[in-house]
Amino acid sequence: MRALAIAAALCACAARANPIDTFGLGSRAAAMGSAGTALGGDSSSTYYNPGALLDAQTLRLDVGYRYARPHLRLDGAAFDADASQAILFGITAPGRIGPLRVAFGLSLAVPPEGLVAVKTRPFDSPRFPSYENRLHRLYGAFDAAVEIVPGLSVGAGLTFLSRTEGGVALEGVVGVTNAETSTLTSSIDTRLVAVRYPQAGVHWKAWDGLSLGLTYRGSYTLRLDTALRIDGNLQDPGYPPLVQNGYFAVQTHVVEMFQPMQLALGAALRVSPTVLIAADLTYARWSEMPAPKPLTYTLDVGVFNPLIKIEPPRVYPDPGFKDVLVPRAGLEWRAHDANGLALDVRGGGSFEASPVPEQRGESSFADGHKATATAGLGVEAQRPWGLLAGSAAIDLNLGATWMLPRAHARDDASRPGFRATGLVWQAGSTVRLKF
Amino acid sequence: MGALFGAAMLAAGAAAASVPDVVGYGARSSALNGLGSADDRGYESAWLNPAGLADAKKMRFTVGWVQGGSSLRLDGADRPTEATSGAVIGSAVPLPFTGALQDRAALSVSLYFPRKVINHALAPFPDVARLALLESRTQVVSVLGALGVRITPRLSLGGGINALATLLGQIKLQPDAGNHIVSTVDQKLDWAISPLVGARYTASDALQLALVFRGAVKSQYDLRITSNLGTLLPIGVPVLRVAGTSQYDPAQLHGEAAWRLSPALVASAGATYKRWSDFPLPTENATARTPPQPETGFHDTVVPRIGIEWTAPWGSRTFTARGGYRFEWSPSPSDAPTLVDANRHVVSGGLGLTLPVAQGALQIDAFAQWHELAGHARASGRYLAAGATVGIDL
Repeated sequence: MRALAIAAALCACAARANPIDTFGLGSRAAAMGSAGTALGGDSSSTYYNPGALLDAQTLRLDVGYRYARPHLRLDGAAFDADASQAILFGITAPGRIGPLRVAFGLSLAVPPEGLVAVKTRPFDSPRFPSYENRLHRLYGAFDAAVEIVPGLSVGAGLTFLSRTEGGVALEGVVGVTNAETSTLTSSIDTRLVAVRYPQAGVHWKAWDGLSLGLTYRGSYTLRLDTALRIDGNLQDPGYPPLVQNGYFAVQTHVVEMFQPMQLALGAALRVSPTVLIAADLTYARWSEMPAPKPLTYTLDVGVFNPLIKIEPPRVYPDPGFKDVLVPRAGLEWRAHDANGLALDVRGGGSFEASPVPEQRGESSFADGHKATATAGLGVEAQRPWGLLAGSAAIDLNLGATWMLPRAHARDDASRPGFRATGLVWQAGSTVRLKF
Repeated sequence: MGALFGAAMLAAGAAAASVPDVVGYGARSSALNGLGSADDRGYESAWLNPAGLADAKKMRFTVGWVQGGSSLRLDGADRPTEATSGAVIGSAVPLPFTGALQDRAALSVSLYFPRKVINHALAPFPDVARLALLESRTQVVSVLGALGVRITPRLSLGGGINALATLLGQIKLQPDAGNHIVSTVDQKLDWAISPLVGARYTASDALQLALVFRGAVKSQYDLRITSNLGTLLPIGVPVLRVAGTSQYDPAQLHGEAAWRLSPALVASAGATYKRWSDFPLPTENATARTPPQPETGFHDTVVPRIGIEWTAPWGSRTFTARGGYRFEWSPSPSDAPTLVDANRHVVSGGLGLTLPVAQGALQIDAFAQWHELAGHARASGRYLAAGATVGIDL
């Protein structure tokens, strides 16, 4: 199977981080520029700040949907990038264990078009690391939180991903003059190994109306470590073997995905009974992004050995990404609140500097600074139809991210540079039930 | 968890099955040898019978561990297999609706998570004999989501899903200008969702009945490798297809009855029909001209089970002892050349302790299971599994 990895091994790593980093989780925080570190109140705390899970006083269920469409341009031409969708499910369950207030949270963002989609390209081909494989990936997190003292809670949890290791072996006969006459069978020994990375957070209701939050998200690198081996004779049907017991073996080590360590500091301040403002500052350590490792191969095809023209494995340069600080801000205004029905209007924005250096050498990462504007509405009904002791709310969010135009000139004048820009739209809706 | 659950839920490999099908799901059910569909009311219902969740009274979270190992022989030689080792995480969450929906619905998100892997695909070449249903069969994550609803005071219905992934991909190899091999990859992990539906009927104060359907859990992989390396290699590389089925639990129909013989004693009996005749080839041929493999020849089976549970007060606590037996009829023909399997006698037992805590209970359960292979000329040996769980009401 991991012949698959051959390919990946020979090209640049592609996937970076996950879709929640890009679009946020849940409609309320996403509409507020994803400045959610100090917000709390629903299952999106599993991502923004596990310590804020205790902001929920009763059982809560969240169900939603998110759609995003990148419109990317490379040298003025449209660049093919798939839309990203996710079905969202979250649960926040507060309770007590003895004297302790505790809460558990679970969030899932499930792409309906498939769990994971990965496209890799040859190292020299320009690609958008922020908007290709990054958007097509299942996300899930499980967290727990405990109240240390009234108003101060800590939470932590794990996010699970997988990496692949193992290999595929094929044996039989490979046709010499016509490869399609080959008769091969396969065996497989491949493991999807669990990769766990932690997230943790502290949430403090400093005083009435002000909440502070600090969140840590661990880094991870998903690799495809794979082997492919073909053993057998080189032989045409009806003829004796030209080569007996030849083989071709390749070992690959591919970076499929990298997420930087992140540290987010946030504050949420209720400046009046109807207005809440939130702000976050996130540090992302992109400088740890690894370079692809070269593949290694061996082969013995007997009399054909002198005719092989494959060059030694290519060594890839360090990508040289830079750490970044991402500011985010959001606002929520309760525009109407009467007769058990409330209307919230939300807005926000963020600015994410690109971690990608100018592409003067061999690599071709097309990325630029990204400015995002968001908006949304929320309608909340108390005790709807007498079925809930709490409330039911429906939130809508819209967002647009503009990747500022950026041109890359090569040191080697014989290699063409490139210019990249793009606009990414997103929309979503979440239904929240408070029991 | 995405790529956790994602992640979690990926697949690749050999025909195998899951811990819930081999050992059971949860310490109580495993001690009863897979029974509990008629009277369980906790997270185990996510696998046993989602309708049972409607009887959940308190929100409870449970964690635990399952460990297992085997001593198996095939054709007179030891056949090493991977140990079972993983965590159980379960939840039962009553939904506190008011009005017409009050005390009627509950949901569960539960999983079994192997210690080392999410999935292990292990398939030797098609002509190599192996113990088809016991080797690395428990090396796969199981993720279960379920909802149970009480329709009438006597009837509850439930449904859920068990989700795995199917791997599809295309790889193209070609030379670059510097005579290196370069490639493009288009890989996708797609959904393979299996349904779970169940009904529970309380016939009397002493008798509960259950009927459960579990859809086949089948995870496949299909990768095509094409190349255009004519300028680098003096020989052609054929179009390769690496395809097969990595995980397989057959579709099942399970019927069960639980009799309360006395306030302290409950006896259960049930039978599970397993549609093994749909069992697919673990690996398909890699090239089009390779001679076709013979069919598996597997047949459908029925698995009978019996269990008993005795409960006694112990001060403010409650002590429980459990036991069970099932006969796991092998679906493999006795003369199968490579996909070898044998009948299994499975004996199980377990203990439970319920301790009162502030606003609910702390539930501690443990179990052990002994599988003995029998009646096959080429295959013999045993498999032993044990585990424990701790659950707490919130």
